[in-house]
Amino acid sequence: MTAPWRTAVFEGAGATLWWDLGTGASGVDVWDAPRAAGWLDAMPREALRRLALDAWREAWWPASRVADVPPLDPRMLAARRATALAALDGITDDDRAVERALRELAAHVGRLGPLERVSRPAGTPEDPAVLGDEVRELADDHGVVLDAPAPAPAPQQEDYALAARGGAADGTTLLEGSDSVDPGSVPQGVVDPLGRLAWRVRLTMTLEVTVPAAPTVGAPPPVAPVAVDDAPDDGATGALAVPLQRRGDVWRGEAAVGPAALTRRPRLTLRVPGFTPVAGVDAAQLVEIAREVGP
Amino acid sequence: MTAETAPRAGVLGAAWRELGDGVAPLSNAAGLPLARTTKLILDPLVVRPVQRPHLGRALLDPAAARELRELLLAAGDDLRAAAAWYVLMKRERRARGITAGNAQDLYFQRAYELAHGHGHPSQDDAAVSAAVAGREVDDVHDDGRVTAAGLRDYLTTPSVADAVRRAIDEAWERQVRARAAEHGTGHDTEPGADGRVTALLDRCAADGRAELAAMVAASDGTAAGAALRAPGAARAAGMTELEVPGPPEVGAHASKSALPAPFDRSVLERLFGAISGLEVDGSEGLHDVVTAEARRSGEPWQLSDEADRVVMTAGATAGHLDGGTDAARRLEGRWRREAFVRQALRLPDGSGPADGAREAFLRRLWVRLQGRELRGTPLSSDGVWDLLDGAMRSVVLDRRDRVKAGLARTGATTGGVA
Repeated sequence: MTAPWRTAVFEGAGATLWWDLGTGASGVDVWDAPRAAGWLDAMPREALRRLALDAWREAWWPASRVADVPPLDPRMLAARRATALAALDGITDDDRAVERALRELAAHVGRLGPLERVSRPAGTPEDPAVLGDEVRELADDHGVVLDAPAPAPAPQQEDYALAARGGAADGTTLLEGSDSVDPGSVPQGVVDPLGRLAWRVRLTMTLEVTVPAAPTVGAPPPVAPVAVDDAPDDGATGALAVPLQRRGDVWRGEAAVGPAALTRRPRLTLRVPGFTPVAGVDAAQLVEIAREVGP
Repeated sequence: MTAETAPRAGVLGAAWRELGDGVAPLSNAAGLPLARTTKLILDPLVVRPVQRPHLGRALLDPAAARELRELLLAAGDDLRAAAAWYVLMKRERRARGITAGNAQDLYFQRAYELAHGHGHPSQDDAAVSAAVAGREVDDVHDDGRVTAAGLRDYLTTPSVADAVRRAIDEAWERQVRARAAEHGTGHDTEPGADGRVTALLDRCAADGRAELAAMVAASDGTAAGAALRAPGAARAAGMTELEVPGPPEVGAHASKSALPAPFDRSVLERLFGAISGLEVDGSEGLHDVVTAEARRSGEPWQLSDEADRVVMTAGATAGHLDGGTDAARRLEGRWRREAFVRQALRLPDGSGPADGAREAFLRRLWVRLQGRELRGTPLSSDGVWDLLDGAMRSVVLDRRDRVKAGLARTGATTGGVA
């Protein structure tokens, strides 16, 4: 197949369809021909592609302040997937796919409030209220409870965003630099894929690391990355790991470093415990794809 | 696929489309049958591959393809009527504010039975049809039926608990005696068992009738199940945490989220998830279900039906994912595709099939087989592959769900066992 991070995938019964959103190439991997024969030729590809695209958006949509890409509402994406999966019932590999999508939607609704309260995002064709009715009927038919207690209103991120940015160069910085973020090293909704992983070594011999957080609809996912330098060659401290904390729209963390930090530029990458990085992700191309496929 | 054969799914889909708009409520957006239309109506009630095994194969010869199409078209009136009854039942469900359970799972077979008994719902007397559909919905959700709580109350009644305890012990003693008798004859396993398992696993995705029958005739499932009583064997298969599994407890507590391995489950834990779906009325019915379960626990693989034991035996081999058979290669293919899809969905957790997948797969397979025995669903030849594939798919997808939920909840992903 192709690079997974720019590939939209439809998992059908007996066949997997894929679209490389970077090159425009597409293909079919038939893994059980008799099973796939039930639908492969009878089903318009466009409906399958739309569903696959929504799964891609959930995973890779590069919400970014730097590149001015607004975040997508996970409730809308999950609701769209649930209704599309219901229309494709009997064709998908998983005959519990609708129920799974509805449960994901229920989790989002529990966290962010009911779908009806979503303001209609610019550029999206659906009316959340209409989609909400459709999906509620679907949930009732599948025995999934969508009604959730309304959560406390999400804090306005901009309120404390500036305070968290910290002072600019205050005369105590010995060394500073930055690396680009690798979006493949973290799950969705954690860091701004177009942001930079900035570091500086202060006079107090602390290494301070900051990276812009991804803009999200409502509260961000509870995932905290660690900035690591896998091979500092000072021979004494071993691998360096700086846990980051989110304050508004910035991740920040610091760690004590030895004098060797002044002679060797740190090479920082992000890690999330338990998350295996996806290799080769090109953030700029993610943005290009996002502009092309739309919200 | 050769020129002479046609894929069953294709024949079924094409014939279904000939039935027209009347079956739309049982169809998807492309006018093809819904997954549960095939699973709950077409296969068990119309095509019935258990009685007509030649119609159950993945590839059909021209005569079988014709027969399948004709069967479906002949059932057209029933199917259109069933679709209309299903719509009415959903309307009554909504009117009653019922949201529990999957409407397709609960109503499809009933709608087909209504179609059989009443024909198409009357257009002239809509109120009568609505009342019939309403009664059916009420019956599905009947409060008088035995529920999980009712089962627990029953099993925790001291006299009942004592009787069930005795039934379990008798079943286990019977097995001990049977085993002693077998040892006397000098062979535990029929010669050639390995070859028969390989043959079934190589053929089951396409047909496998003869191979399944051969294993059943040789009691290969019983032999493999009995071999699990050797110290550590059942634990290695993921069926128990114990060195040697013992007779189950009767049980007083059960929780879906904290179920032990299958052989370590109490009778209550083995039954509480399925009981409300069994539509048991009253304590006499309960007595039968519970006694059958006590007896089942003493059998090889703790399953009653030899065909089901054969499926467990085949699964235990295929689950090694060693590429040795067609079925094993197909199951491995699921994990290969999953590795790519996990990256495409930005959910990689680094875990793979080596991390307890075989054990999780066998546990899932056992639960499905035991569930079928409870419901009295017979196993057809095509069912072997569907069962193996379905159990592995559910292990793969549940792991994916867990990775996703883990990220959303705590930020930590876990690759633990199912």
